[in-house]
Amino acid sequence: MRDRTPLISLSRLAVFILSVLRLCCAGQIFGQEQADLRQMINRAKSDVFPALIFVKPIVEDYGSGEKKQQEVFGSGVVVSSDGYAVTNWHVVDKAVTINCVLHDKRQVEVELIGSDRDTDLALLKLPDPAPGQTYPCAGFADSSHVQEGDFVMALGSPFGFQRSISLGIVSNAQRYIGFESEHKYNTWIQTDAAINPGNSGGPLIDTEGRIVGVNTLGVSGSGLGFSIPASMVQTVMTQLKQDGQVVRAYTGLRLQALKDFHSNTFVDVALGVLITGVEENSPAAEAGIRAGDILQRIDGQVVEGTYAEMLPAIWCRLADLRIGTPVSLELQRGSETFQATITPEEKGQLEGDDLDCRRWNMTVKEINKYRTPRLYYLQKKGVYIQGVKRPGNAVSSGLNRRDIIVKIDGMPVETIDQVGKIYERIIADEQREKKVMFEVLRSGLRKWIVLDYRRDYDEE
Amino acid sequence: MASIERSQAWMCGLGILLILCALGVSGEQAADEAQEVPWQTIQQEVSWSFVVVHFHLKKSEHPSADGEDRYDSEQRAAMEYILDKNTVETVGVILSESGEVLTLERQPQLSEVVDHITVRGWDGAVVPAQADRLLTKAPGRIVRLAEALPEEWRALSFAELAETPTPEMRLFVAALGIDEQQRISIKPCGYGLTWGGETTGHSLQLPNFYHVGVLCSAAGRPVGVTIQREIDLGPAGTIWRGGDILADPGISVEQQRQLEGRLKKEFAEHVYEITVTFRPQSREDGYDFPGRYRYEGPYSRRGSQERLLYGLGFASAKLLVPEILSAEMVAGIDTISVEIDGRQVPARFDGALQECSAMVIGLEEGELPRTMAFAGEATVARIKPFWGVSVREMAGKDVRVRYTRWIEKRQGYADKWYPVLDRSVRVGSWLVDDQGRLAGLCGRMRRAQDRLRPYLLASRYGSYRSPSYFASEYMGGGMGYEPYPRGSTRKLFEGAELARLLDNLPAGYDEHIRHMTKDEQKRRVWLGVEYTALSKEMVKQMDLREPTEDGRLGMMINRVYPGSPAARAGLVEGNILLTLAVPEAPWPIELTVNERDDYDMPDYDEADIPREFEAMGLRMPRRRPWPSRGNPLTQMLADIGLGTRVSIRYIHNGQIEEKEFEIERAPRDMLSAAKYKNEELGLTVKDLTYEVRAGLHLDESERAVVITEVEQGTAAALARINRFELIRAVDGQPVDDVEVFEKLLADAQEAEKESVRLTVEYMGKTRLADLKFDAQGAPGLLKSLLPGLP
Repeated sequence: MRDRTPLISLSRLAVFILSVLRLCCAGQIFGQEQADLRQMINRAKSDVFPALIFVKPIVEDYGSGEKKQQEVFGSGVVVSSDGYAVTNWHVVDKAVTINCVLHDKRQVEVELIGSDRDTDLALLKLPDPAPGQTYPCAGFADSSHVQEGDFVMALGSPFGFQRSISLGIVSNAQRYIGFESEHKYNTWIQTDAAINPGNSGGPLIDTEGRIVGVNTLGVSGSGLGFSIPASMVQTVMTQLKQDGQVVRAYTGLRLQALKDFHSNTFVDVALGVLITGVEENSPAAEAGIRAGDILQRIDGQVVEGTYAEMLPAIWCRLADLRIGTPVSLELQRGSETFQATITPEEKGQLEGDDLDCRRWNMTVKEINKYRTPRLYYLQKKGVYIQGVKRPGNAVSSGLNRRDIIVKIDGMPVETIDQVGKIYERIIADEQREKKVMFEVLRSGLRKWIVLDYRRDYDEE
Repeated sequence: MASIERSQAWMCGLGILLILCALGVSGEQAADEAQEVPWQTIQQEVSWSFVVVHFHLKKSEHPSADGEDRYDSEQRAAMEYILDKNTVETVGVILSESGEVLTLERQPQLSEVVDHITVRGWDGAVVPAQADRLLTKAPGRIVRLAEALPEEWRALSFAELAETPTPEMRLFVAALGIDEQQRISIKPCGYGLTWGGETTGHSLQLPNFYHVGVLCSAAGRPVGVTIQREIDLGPAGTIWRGGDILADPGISVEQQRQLEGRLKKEFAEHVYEITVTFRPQSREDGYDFPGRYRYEGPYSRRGSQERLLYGLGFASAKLLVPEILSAEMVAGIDTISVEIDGRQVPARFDGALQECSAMVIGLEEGELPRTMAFAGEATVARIKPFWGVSVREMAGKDVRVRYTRWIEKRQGYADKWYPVLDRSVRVGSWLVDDQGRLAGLCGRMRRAQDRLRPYLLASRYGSYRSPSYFASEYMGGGMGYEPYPRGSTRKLFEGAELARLLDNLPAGYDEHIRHMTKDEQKRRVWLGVEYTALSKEMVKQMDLREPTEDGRLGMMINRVYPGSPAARAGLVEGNILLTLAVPEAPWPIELTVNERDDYDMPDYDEADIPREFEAMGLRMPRRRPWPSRGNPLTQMLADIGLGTRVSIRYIHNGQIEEKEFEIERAPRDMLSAAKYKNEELGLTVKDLTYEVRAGLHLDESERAVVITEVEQGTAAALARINRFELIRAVDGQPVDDVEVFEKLLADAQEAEKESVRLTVEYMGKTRLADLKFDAQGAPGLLKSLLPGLP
């Protein structure tokens, strides 16, 4: 019998050698992939990082019951070599000064060119660069090409940690979020890249180093972050640069997708969008449009609103209608189709004006249809208490946030101006007793409260 | 010459002075002689006869619990004594050589806590003793020494006092004080004459003494013993002469034991267990005014839907329950059943007695096998012991028997005089004489304005309370051992009086306590206003300090409902309601507001948080956007009574005005609104009522139904509709009311539609929601939030 050992040994040796070779190759490949990823990140980062800015506005805040200035922070990105930068509206809202820290550690004061609350975007202008110099800037990608699974990075200043990067993927490229009154004009890029307070206004970039979105919303610690797609950013930027604002039309229509998976409501028609409501005294109401109608064409153009993700596009179309110009709508009611003519109005102010009644230790604000729909329902025109300072005269006297002021010292008030005038007159009158009778509406019922402002909390 | 005259005058004056002094001294001597107290004789006669009786206590083995999971006060007191290593001490006096000792019976109150008795004499010797008998013609009990009388102790040797004491007769009372000094005090007795000059009805007025007093003659000889401060010398008075006390056969321990055993057995047979259940409060009504339907009672946990009562059968198909449920509870009774020999027999609430805290339950079928009658000769006479029998739930039917007596009366309601129990007995106890005959009820009297009392006294409390808060005060809901203060409503209703009350039915029932149908129970009365509190600063600014008492008094109207009595009377927002005059009340009810009762529901859902974030819990739950119509004012008007004509005083434009109005039934509100509940769809809707319209600024022409309940995991929940939203239309068809809504759904189902499209509105904003008919087995929202579940 021949000894088989050497044969076995040889085959075993061969297996061993092959295994080792395979491992080496795999390591190399894995290492290759790692190197690719790192390279990708570096490239992307290096393209955009220099354009990243730390935005530090000093904003006026009225929510605490007195007008206060405080420094807040967010992020932004320079999008043109001459220094235009984009950030979120909510970062720079009511800013009195906006400073930014650039990549080279310079802090500069920037100008607010314009902002759009509806899309939560704002356009800044850095000081003109020195002659012959330019600002590093980032370019936009075509956000319509973003797909789920794409690697993205969120750049910004989470919790004030400047110039941070977080890595993630696109969780959903066209996420619809059903806000009642804001953020209606775009779907969102949902990502699991960490987006925290401070990231607002910063860019979401792809692996090519291009901006696919502006980071705007996030739920801390949840892996849920949302960015405004670049396409919307660019559209708004253009309008802000041109006009300093975005003017939109208002029709008074409330819409819902034909197939609404959230409320499990499904309309069995091929095209159009479901009208769920028509606001009182609105152009749509005047045109005789009713809840339940299906809007199928706007000015002859088909409306596609089968799914919720399609709603923002319809909102944009409606918002872009020419104000004051009648436009024909084709609607379906039941099995009947009919035409209605609607004359859009300008979408009014999105937020009421503020006033600090310092001596009374409270701030007030005008009721606004978009910002305070519940109060607006109770009283169309009026002023409510936005904030009460604690400790303070208003809160000690029993006034609460969201009380609608009906009368002050027997005088009816409906606007900030009226409140301001009465306030000034009362404060100026040194001879009078430092007590004021307020008649307010609280939860729909009247209350009478005497505001005693003998104490001057500013002096204490 | 002049100096002699002066000195003569001086001498005369001195002489007069001396004579006067002499007269004064002799006067005192005379008085002394007249008031001479035979100290020594009395001391010799009584010293060795006083003893201290020690009751050594043990924890009662009888289950305690007064319905609140606490020991009743006597049991608790006994337990504290034991822990403090104390005995209950009473003074006694040896009456006979055979060791009979008279002592108090007032302590300890509970017989079952007495472990053993010892008697300690003047020399410190201690002899065991046993309870012997209760006196029947005088208050007091006799304990008997278990051993021979020690040599150093002595029984009293009573002298005969044949004639009735007169004012001229001097009597003294000797008593031992068991304080640290342990001295015998000897004080003269007084005499009480009849007011009005009559020659009968006199009494001996004894000075304060401790526990037992020995009456001694002018010569210092003991003639009697007593534990009373005043002895009526007329024919109805108690015995006190030594011989009479010794001759009182009393009720022996054994007789007492036998009687109490018999009573327990008899009452166990004649008192029936009654189970009362109450209508459950539906969840959608849960937001209503708290306390309105809270089923409280001394024996039940809060919110319980069942109560056990014990009623005595007094007629063939009627039972008398010695307590009263509050008007709210009675209104909400669902079922009543009486256990008769193991069977549950349906019964009904007949009524609550107007004058006594008792109610009558009537059988719906059949008869009671055993009853007791009230009419008869049995009474609860002064002095003589009688028994209180109480029945309650404790591991079944628990019958407790306690003896007591009444000796004095105290002035109470309507300035009448009411017997005061010497030993406390549970309110709600049946009274039985020493022959075991039913003699009455220890209950609570009900007074004319009891139901208004909390409101008439509101200024003391500063705010209104739900009447159930006062249930134990005036409705007789309590059955505890409260002390008997002035103003207490505790009363001994003798059999004859009860018989009279029971003969006068149904006229004798309280019209304010009655059973109601489910719908009636929910209906309210109204004035038709919402109101808010005043403040001192507010009334200062309005220059209304005086009429509102610096803001303490008054309700400021901040909404007037159209078509209401207030609207018809011309009341407007800003008017201040001050008082409400009710015909039977001695003064108008002051209207005050507890700030806690102000409707104040801040809106939390103004923030635009998309529905997509619901699962993350970022959306606040919806709050009811209109005030409940169950507020202290409507509650008070309900207590005053539907149909009562009242007068309201209020301030209008700085002037005080007064208007009369009749308390009317209010239109239906959310509590009583017509309802449609579809369990399959998980949806409950109600008609749009006046307060909802006012709260949501909807005028009379607007039509909708209100969603009041959406069950989790149902089609309604899947459609994402919520409480407090309105349904305006179904498949475009307007919804007028719940009937129309129900019909539209039914029509759709009949047409075999898979779903209907609801037009839903909340605070002015409408949307559409599909309600599917076949969403069975749909996963509940909760499930969808939990990861990992299939």
